[in-house]
Amino acid sequence: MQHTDSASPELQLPAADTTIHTRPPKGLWRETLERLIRKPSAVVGLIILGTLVLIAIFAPVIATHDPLAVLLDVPEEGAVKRMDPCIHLLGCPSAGDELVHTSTETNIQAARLNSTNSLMSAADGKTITVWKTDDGSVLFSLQHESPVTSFDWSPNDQTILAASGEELIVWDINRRIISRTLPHEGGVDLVEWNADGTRFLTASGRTVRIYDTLSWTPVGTIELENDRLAAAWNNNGTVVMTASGNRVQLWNAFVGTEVASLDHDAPLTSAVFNGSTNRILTTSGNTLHVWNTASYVEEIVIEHDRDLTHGAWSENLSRGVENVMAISGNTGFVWKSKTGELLMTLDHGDPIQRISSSPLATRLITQSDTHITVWDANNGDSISSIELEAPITNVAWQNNGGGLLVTSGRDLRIIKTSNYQYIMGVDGNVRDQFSRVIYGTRVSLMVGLTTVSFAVIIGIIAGAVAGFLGGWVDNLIMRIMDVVLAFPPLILAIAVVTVLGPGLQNALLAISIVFIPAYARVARAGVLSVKEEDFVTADRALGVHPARILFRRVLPNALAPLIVQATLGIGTAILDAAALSFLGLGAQPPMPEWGSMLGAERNQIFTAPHLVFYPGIAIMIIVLAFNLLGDGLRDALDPRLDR
Amino acid sequence: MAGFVARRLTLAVPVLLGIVFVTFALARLLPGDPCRSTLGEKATDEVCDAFNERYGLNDPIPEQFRIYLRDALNGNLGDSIKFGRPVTELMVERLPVTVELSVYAMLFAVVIGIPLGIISAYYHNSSIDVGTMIGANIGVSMPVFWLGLMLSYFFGVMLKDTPLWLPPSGRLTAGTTIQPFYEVWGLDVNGDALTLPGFIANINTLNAALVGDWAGLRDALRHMILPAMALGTIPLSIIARMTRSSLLEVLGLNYIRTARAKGARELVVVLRHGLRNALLPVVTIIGLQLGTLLSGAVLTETIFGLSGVGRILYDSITGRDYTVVQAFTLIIAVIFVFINLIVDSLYAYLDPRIRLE
Repeated sequence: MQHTDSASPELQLPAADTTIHTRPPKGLWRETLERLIRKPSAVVGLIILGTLVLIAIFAPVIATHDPLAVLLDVPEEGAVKRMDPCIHLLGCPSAGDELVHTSTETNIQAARLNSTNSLMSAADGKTITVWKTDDGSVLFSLQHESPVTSFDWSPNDQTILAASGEELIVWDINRRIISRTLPHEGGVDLVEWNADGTRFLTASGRTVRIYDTLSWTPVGTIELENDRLAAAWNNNGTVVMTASGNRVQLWNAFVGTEVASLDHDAPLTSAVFNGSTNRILTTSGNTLHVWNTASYVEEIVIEHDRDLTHGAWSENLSRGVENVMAISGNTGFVWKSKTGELLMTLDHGDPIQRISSSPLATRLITQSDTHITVWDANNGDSISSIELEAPITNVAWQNNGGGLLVTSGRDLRIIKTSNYQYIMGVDGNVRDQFSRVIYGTRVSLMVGLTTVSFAVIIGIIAGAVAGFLGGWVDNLIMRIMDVVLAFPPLILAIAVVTVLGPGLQNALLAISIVFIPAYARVARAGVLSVKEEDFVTADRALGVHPARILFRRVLPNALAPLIVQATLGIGTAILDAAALSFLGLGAQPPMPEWGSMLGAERNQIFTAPHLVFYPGIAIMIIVLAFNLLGDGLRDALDPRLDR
Repeated sequence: MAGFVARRLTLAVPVLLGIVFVTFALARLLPGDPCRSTLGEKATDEVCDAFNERYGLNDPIPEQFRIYLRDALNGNLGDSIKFGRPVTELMVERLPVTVELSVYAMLFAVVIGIPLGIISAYYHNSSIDVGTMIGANIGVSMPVFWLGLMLSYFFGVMLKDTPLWLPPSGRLTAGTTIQPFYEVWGLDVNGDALTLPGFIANINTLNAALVGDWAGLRDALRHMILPAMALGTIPLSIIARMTRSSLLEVLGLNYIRTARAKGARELVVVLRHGLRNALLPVVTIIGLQLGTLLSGAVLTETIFGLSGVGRILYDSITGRDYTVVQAFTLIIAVIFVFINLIVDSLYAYLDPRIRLE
């Protein structure tokens, strides 16, 4: 019974009907809801909001990764900084798929990726052709007079050094012209730049020459006693390693004199530097040796029951992975380089010709004549198997380990080596963007609801008191509100956050403060319009306490515009909170908040626009949902506007 | 009418006083030591004492307020702690950037928003109407900073090497300058930057037009397109929606039916009879949006590398430059108050009923 609320018990009045007929009829809310549901835009808003709430609740189920976790431990090497998203949700390439496939006119002798992996190049006959790695389109080709036997990109990608006949040809890649031609005695089998591009080496038969790129003349010549097995630079370009016969030799790269000689009992079958070139792996006979290049001592010798060939490193120092690999017949083996413990046995099927590890040691490949198997480097599982028609001539990893450059016969392919997909890419801190966007829903919903609730509560109290009491109280409160309203909202919020200190909580408080006047005004207007109604006068006449009249009679009747204003305000609040976070004043990293995600990656807009695109779209969708709902509510609660 | 304006002006006085007080208080409340944030962590106490003395930071707070109020009324807003220059000088430098940006943004919003609103009101419930309203809803929900980034990516990167390419940042192409018009005209401004000529000269497009530097004007305009689009999209959407609903209401009124009945052409009915009356609330909205533009300007200026008011305000708040924070929030709030006053008066002028309230 509603009327008993207002009647003082002592008076024993009969039911005061006057209070009933002006109060909202019981069916108002249901009527409002029905009208709301008839508005298509409001229904869309409700559906989107419902979905977002579900996403927020089930975020741990939907997200594929921990939003805060760095993806380094995932056995996925595509997870380099700001990886591109796989936006073809239904047709993402998986391991073994060809990303790029191009062909040349004759068989390919040599193939290289440039240092940024944006270009791939191959030499067939007298031509070197350069393609874009993204789409396989030809960028340019360089013609030579005799067949090209070997070539290499300089470390800064500005020049290509090619060996053609008895000449070394240096191409200026920017201008696509020959910048110099160097005569060379005898045909060249191998050219290789050092790490900083100040020197390069050439190998022809048993002779290795070291060239200087200031004078473009050989500064040292190394004559080997036996056939050359390997010739390689160390990292800082001070030492050249050669392997021939039973002996690995280290040479001073400035003058070409011998620094050290590492002797083996049996003829060598391979010799390779590790990534930081402080160790050398060699295989000879049935043993595998690891040498230290600083002290020239043997760190470990691994014995096997059969002959070992094609030694290789598999290392990622940041994860503490330092493994050595070698081949014996159809089988590849992986040992721990520190202890010699056998970790994995990779059974390939055919005689293996090469074993190789991706740059971050998360994938391994074994390659036979026409067949490549990709293995998971953590557990030795076979990931994919690639069969080609023609014999494979070159295999090279892309820097990020996501693909392999494979040449066979006249074909040049880039083949994907992983099954992992990051729907929205990977951000600058190597975290899964999709999971972060999903978790961001929680933050944004929370931000919108808390700021607006706070602002509405304070605003209602201030506005209602002002409107109800009138006089100087009204004047004072409303002038304070005018002052707050006199500042552009975001600028005031920035100032308040700076005073309170950056952080999500303070940002929420600041935004609430900025929004209070809007609600206070609406509440005051509502109260003013209801205050003079008959049922309020009746209550006053009955001597009901003013606070009771205000909260039980006046406010409920002035609520409709407030609800509309609040719903519309949530969208604005989310936008402003995101703006504060974007400026670095709101949510602090590593919290997955859309605004701060945008702010963190905004300098990458030209290189990785997807990292900016998705959080922004998310903000837009949630704000749109609240706006649609608010518009619908306004029309539903105020039928005059409904058209 | 004069009475109305006078009444509004008197009402604005307490608000202005409140603004002065709030800006003063905000600047004092900023955490951190202005001395050490300017001179570095290693500044000694003696140095800081001298520093505080120099900027009047050692005086008691009420005394500081009194001095501040006195100086502010005299048009002296103090020296920037960071830049070591009078704040008014900074204002002449920075304010034009924001004014220019806001004007073009508003121009963009009005020129596109009002016709869109008219079309969707006239073809009410047609697919054009629905499409426009969906677009307007999306436009209102768009974060300004995101839109700015996406625009600069789209026009600056994706359309590179096409005639549609637009510069994604800055006010002028690096290396180009537009000679201030007062130099070209031979006006003597005594090197005093705090002048109307200085202000106008910093509005690049206006200055270029005055000088007749058409290449410079073209360059300045091209740099202005993206920020204006980013900043103007939300007002555009709001104006389009407002025009539509207001015109819809008016088009349903009796006098429109009368106009049609007497055989007036449809275009005349809609534009002359309908739009004239429908524009009243739109004018208000435009005025109110000018304030919102100042908020958006902080973000737009950050993204497009424009050194306007928003940018300097953000920089000085994070850099604890009290005087700049005070002065710029003050000036923005005052501008805001006066814009509202003008809008109210305009509204009262256009709709006599309001004056009588």
